[in-house]
Amino acid sequence: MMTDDIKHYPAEIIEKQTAAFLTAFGMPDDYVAITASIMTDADMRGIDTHGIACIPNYHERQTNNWVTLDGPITVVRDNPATALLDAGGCLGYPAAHRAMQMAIEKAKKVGLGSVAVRNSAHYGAAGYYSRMAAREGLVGFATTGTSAPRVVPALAAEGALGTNPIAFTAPTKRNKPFNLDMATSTVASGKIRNKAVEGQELPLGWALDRDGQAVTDSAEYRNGLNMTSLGGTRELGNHKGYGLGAMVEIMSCCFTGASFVMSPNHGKRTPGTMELGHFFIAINPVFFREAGQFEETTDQLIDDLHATTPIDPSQPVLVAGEPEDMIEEERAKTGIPMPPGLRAALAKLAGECGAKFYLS
Amino acid sequence: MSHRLDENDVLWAPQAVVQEQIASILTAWGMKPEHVAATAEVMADADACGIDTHGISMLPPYDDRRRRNVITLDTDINVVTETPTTALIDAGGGLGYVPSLLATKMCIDKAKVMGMAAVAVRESAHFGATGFYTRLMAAAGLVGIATTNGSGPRTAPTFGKDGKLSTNPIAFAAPTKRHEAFSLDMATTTVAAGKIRNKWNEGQRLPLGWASDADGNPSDDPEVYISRGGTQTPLGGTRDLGSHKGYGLATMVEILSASFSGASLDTSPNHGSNKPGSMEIGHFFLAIDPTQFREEGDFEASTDELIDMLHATKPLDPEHPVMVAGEPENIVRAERKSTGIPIPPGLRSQIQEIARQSNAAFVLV
Repeated sequence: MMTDDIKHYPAEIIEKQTAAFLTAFGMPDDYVAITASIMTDADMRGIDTHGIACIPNYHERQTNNWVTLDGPITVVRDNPATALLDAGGCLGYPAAHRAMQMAIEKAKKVGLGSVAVRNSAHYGAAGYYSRMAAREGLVGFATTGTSAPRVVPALAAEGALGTNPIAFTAPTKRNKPFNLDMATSTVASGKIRNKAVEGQELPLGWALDRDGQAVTDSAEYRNGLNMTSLGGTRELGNHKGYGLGAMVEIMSCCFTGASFVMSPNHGKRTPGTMELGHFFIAINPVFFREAGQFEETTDQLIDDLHATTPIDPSQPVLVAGEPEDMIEEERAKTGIPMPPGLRAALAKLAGECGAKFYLS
Repeated sequence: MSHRLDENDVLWAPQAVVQEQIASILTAWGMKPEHVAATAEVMADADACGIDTHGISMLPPYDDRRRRNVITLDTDINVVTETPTTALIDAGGGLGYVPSLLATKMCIDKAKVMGMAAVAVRESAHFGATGFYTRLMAAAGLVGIATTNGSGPRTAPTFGKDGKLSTNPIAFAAPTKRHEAFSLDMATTTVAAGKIRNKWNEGQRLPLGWASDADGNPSDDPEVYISRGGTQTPLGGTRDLGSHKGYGLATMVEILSASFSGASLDTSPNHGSNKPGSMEIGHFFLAIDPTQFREEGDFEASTDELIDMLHATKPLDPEHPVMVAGEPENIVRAERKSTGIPIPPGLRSQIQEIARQSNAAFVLV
């Protein structure tokens, strides 16, 4: 792919395009506004796998009746510090947004809030929701279940968990919020695909074949590769990544009754819903210390970590979230890059579903 | 079962005897009787389930810390602030076990009423195995999370040369019905420092990705970590294999443990010895009641089902079935119930010497 072919668009245009698709798919306006805004935020922060690139995938899910884009969000249970929401089979964005808002309100009143969501689907980048809490001066935490069991437990030969992400955000004053948003696999499957496209060798510890054997030949991607749990190999602690992946599955599914990624026919067992689960926590630091002290300590920690002697002076030590903050700053000027393959796919899809096309 | 010395000079002692030995030394050091019983119980439990780095083998480092006056064994514990869902505890510079048991109990009691609770602890020190506290929460039917910062900042951030964070563990436990509780208790480093030391003791090389030399290059020589200013890697091991994720988790643990409590940061100059009588370590505990979300027993049934599915995963080697977190320790616990706890000769003579110096009874005979 030639870089010359990559066009750049301002965030407003990408958001408008995303919204046009979602509307054409039958999503109601209030859900569209929230969903398009969260998806475009991912594109702005360089999380290109979780923005407008998801549109063809969402179209497929809608066409196959795996999601209900106008599904009602219902509050199933509501207590002073906890709640359970039902996403009505919709894509996860509107319910997840509502859930974190409720967790924030509860944490402001009683110090803590945790809200679980069931009957949901893909909700984009987990870190969006934990960052919502940090904007309100709270610590935020988010997890989600996933749709494909491609991550292999320690000692196993086959996939049993998804990429099961964890997001954690802490408020600061001087620095940007600390924002960890990580899959509990060694790498995202997109990174393996990219190596395959470029014909490059895979680092040992990224991928496994269907017998659980380590693979470094990226051409094997065609035959279907699984991903390792963070740690990569038993010797380098993949039982820890596996443990974290199982923790995320428990938080996302056991509090909600959502379908496990290993459940037979997962994602397709009930028409109109993928039955994914999410979990959100907000914690209010002023219930522990005076206002501002939590942020002061966290800023000090970030300053201390920045002051670590770098191995390569041109690559200073960063903290979680800063790579995305830098991309966001850059893209505010350059716009969001749109590779030609994706643009062509979106143009074709716009024609098929009657959405207006803004990326010409 | 009786104590028995095997052909390698390893003493196999019942858990009760190990606990008695720990208690007699803590008492001789001046710890209050009610604190001694609880502390010895948590420490001996680590030995009982094979976490040998966090049981009786901690007495020599505690002795050193006591002599350097960075811990206060006869301290009082105070609740600084308390609300229906939260609390902050001041551990008064003592070992972390008793304040952490109090924090755990407060989390359980509050979560049973409010659905969720979190307690932070400051002015503390080493609290043993993190998973002990989360397993107590799971035994009470709650999901538990616990973290602590540490005292040996030997873990280098991704892209960095210097050790800045400790092994910063996180524990998570979830209740079950048919199975033992799911219990994850992990350092956010690739391996515990003790594993590097063991390779060094045996004159073996390290797997690449465990440690880095003082210039930040991956090294298979344990000596670079032991004596030449090398560092441990965050989980992931190398940048290629995602060490930025382990580094991110370690930082998360540091924030939970220190920013909520006001403890000293692992990154602070002279961390752990800035204040007479206190290492200023921080912990964080959180409990969630599943019955706030679903009917009683539904959460446990789901967790049991997940564990069944993971057990049913096709293993790489049929001899080694897929397990879930906590099961290796459960297996050791069952074994040691009949064999006793192994006390290697080096540790045994160290304990004997400590007992002699502090006029405590020596019962590992």
